Amino acid sequence: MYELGVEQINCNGKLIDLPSLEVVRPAPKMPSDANIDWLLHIYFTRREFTRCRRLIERELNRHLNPEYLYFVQGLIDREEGNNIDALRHLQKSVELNPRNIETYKEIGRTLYLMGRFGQALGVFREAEQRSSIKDHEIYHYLGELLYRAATTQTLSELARQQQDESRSYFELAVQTGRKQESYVRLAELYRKDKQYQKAIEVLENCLHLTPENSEVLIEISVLYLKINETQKAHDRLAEVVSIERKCSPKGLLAFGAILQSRNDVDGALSKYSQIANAEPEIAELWNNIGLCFFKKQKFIVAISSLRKSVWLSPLNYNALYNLSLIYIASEQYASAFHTLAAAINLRKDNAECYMLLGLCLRKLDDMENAFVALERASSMSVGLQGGGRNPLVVLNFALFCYETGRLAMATEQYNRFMSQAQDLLLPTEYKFQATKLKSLLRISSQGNGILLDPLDSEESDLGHSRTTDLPPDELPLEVNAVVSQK
Amino acid sequence: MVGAPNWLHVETEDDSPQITTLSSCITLSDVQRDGYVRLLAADISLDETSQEPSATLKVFRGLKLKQEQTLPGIPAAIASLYIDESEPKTPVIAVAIAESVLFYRNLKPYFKYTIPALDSEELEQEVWRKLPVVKTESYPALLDSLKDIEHAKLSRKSQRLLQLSEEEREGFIATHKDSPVGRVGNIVAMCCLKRISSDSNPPSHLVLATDTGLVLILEPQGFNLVYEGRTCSHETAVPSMISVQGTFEADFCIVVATRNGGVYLLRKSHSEGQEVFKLGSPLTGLLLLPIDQTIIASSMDNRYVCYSKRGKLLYQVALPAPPVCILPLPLTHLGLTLVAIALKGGMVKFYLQRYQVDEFALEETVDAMLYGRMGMEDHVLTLVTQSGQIVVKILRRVSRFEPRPEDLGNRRPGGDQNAIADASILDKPKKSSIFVEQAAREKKQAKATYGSFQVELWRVRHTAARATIDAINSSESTISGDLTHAPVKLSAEVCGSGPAFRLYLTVQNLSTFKMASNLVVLLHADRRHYAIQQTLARLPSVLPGVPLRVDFEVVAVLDSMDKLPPATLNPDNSQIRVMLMKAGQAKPLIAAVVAMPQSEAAY
Repeated sequence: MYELGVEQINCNGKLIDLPSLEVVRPAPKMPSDANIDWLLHIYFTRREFTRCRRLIERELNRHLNPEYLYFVQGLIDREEGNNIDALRHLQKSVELNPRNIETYKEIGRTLYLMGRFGQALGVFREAEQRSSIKDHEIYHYLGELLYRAATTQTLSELARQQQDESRSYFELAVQTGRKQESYVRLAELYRKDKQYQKAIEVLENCLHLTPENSEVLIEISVLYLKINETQKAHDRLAEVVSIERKCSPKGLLAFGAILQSRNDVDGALSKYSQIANAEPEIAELWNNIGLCFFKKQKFIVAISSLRKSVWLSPLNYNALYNLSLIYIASEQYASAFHTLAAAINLRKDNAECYMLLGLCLRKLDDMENAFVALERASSMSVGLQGGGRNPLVVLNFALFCYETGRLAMATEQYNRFMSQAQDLLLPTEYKFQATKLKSLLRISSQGNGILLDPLDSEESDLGHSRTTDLPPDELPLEVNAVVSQK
Repeated sequence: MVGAPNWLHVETEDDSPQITTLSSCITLSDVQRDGYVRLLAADISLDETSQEPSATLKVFRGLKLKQEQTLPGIPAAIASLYIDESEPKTPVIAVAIAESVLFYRNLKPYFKYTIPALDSEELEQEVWRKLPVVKTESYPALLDSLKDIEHAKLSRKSQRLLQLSEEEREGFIATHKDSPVGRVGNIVAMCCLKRISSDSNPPSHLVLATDTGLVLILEPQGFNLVYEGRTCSHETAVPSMISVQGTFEADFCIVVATRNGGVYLLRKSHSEGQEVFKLGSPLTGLLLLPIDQTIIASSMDNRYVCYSKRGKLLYQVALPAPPVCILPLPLTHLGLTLVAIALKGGMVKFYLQRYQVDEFALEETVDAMLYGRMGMEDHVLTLVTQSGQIVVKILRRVSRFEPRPEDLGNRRPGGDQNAIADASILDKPKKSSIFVEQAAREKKQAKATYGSFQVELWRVRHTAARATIDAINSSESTISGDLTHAPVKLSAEVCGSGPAFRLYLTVQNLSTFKMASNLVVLLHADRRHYAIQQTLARLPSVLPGVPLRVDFEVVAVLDSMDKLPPATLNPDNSQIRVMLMKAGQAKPLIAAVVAMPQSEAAY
């Protein structure tokens, strides 16, 4: 007797289990779960955040592996500026899958955005250890964070160490990945260490990846300027100009500076005028414009340009120095005195500046102070070694001593000038004045202090013949560093 | 763009259908084999909170809905392909849902292919062998051991089991004990790859990318996998988009974009992807262009970039709004391929390489785009907007797309440099007549100007010195008179016979309850007479009733020759001024004078 659907039958007085049909029945499958992580990702990239949030909210209850849901929620929170929630959600995602390096990176990035650099560094270091592959993004961030730590570090030794470590991470990043940012940073670090050649190499490599990148090209040309390869810098900049109609102000400024250093004042001015239209408030720009007009002997325009530069950046030593030089050239000694005083207050170690101050005071009939200033200039210039010393300082002091009747001192300074000037190629102007002084000294030592006509032409001429020359570690874009007429 | 627009708008009836879809979920197909190409779209309904997310496959003739078919899940992509050479050629519709691809022929279900499961970890299989036979009490221990495995690598049934409450577990295990333990990936992207290159609808293979990082090529006649690749060597790269070029028989390339912004390239010969480039933000669109084999991508940070296959950035264009989707437009009659980019806000831009050649704006953001032969017309662009509107545009036959000459202009080396130079005149700072006059005056009267400046400078210094003296004298006493602070008393004694003295100062707080804090003691003496090592001391807070004693070393200056004090020192000026000041206050609280005894000569 068999009834349908019964699993036991009575057969010969015994209850027998019917063989189960489960063998043939397919094993029950898991319901095909609607994993729509991919859809969530698409909406996230389209910045449809409200839709994403709705999706996440619904999915969280039923999703088998909500790791990605939390991840996206964290990213959305971050995009909306809610960093604390972002961290919380990313943290949940990490708890679900501690091996997902991407989540670590996002946590680190969030901390970075929040300005918690120390914590971010810790997270990236952990990510580096956990990561099975060489991840250039981790390296880049580690480098970035260490670099930042180095700049804020007060102990110089530790800072040095961090900077070196940072550089080695950027080097790793460049080896394993090909991100322009890493290259640019690495070059920046090399540049900081004054390894210009290496910085150029790095940027040239970067250029292979992103040809026609004007930022990199400009950076390279500026570096070429640093190592005085003006021609190469010029070529690079010309390339930039041909790629982009609108070259960035930085590039134009460098281009103008090169032209200016080649005495193409009009060319330089045309470059500067382009910048001035777009972004007129750059102190260095007006400094250079002022010097261009100075070269054209248009003093009034030069002074007003330089005054604009000083007005834009009152603590710019170079602009102050140049302005005072032009004031002296245009015989406005009182203004020159104030400008020089401001410059000297900024940097007390420049012999030329004191020399100009001395000359200026002499013109203002303050002989006592003029003597003090010139004496200090001369003693500073003696203290300097090699390239930094300028025989002009000593020559001017000698002339001044002679003029005020300090004959012995004049002779001493004259001898010092001669010893300094021996192996230098000096303008004939200097030589002429020196021989004149020599003969005068000889006469006066014989003729017992006969006062001769004061060398009036001297100082103002000097004002013209010297334009500017500053130690080459100045900002590259200022003409002071590139224009040197000597 | 001047003149007539390049795209003709197709007027539609007011009651045109509404669909929500993605670019990957719409396609064109001659499903009925009548030469009239129909629009197929998967309509995804997500937003109604009342019901589960679901999707339907819809077939439109023109814009008229003709057929509907409910799908068992949300499709990642649909595609129309021919699977064999047999005549008459019948297109097959492939719909990728979760781990399977459903094939429809003549709009009837025809085959379901499920991608093979990945082997799961030994440990998980062991656990599932034990679970049905052990007692309920030992479940927690077994389940804990599952947590050692990365959660994402567990099979679905284990994932579910871990989520269940303890009561539900036994039943769940009983139902699922026999099902295979395996991890199945979800298909996240799909596209077609022609087997051979031919104009007349050659049979195609399907390229599938799963969220486990696999890239598979399915041959849809015998349903075999003919190619298995990995996106990259590490696990975390989950594909989000793929794009394919080439033919299966000859050579092909597959580019895969991951959710993190990486782009990987797989070749026929290389089944493991190599990183081509990695963007800092996720991609919204990816294309492998057929002609010059460049990779086009649009990213979340509003950029449209083009890389070579070797990872060289060829150009990038900044977009005015976030890109939503991109679409290639192969214009075979012109021999070009344009790239259409839909931006958030409704703008659609067309690029020929880096140059924008056309654009138009719709009222709202375009969610999905499709281009190709539709109906009887050859060049039809279908756009689906966010609210579900379908907009159809037809390319004018006479349209030509050329970069604007001014965009091209600056590419010519050195051509128009002079024009730039002349374009702008330097805006020099104004020089007023007063300025010039002042300059002239200064030239003449520099000395007088300088002289009066010096005089005034001295006058200022003089005034300042006088004010200082006044301030000191006015507070000359030993008890502070300022009522706003706690009253303080200062007393001093000098020990020693010289030339080294020790000056002891006692500061006493006379108040009963106020604390005297932020006090500073300053000693002031004539430098020619006394040398003081430390002239300034910051005091700790002085509590009422507890005097504070500080001491300073003072050395009388003696002539090194005759061991006598300098001649200028007389009993009237042999004194040290002690000032007690409060930080942040210019006037001292107490200024007292300590008379110094005459110094013994030092031997």
